[in-house]
Amino acid sequence: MKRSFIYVFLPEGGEYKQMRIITILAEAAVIVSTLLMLCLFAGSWFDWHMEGYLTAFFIFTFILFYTFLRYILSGMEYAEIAGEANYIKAKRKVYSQSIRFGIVFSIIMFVSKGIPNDWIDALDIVGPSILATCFYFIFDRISLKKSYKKNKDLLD
Amino acid sequence: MANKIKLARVEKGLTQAQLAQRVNATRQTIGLIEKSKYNPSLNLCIAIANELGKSLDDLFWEES
Repeated sequence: MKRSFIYVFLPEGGEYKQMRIITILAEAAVIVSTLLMLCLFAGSWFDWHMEGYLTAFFIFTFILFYTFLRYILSGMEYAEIAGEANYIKAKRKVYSQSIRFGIVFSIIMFVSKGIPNDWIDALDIVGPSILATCFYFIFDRISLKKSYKKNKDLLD
Repeated sequence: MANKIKLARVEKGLTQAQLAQRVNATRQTIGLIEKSKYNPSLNLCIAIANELGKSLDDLFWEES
């Protein structure tokens, strides 16, 4: 079973997590295949054609976001967080991880965009960094909350 | 199946977290198996049975 390249991309954390991610990836593949089939029919019936670049972008982003969202909402990321104390500790960790992510993101933005000349250039670095940090924080918190709720229900 | 694993684990004096650590799984996985919400692989079944000192029949066989 493990003789597949897919296991290189799967996170550690036991067979349940890995099997669930494989299922989610398979769901994404089936949905994308169905949508592409519909596009093919639409192309032949209504003379409507999707550009190759747009199609590739759609497939990539759909699989990425579908898998990510299902993973976050399934509550399997924080498999060991069950008690109140652990949950509070994990919440603090989410705060610090988000701040660290924001700092690294803004450094990468700063390096790629260069030194800002005016406040609009500076806003181009600060704005996306704040947004990325907020999204990282929100998704991590949702994942933690879902995991905590799921684990609490399974507790002995 | 669910209660058999939980009973065997409690009999052995182990928590879900301890059993999970011993069979290289997560607490969540053990919890899901005990609640019959996940069917483990044969490898994991064997590891759990070995750790709890039971046979696969004792833990997983269900009379029809």
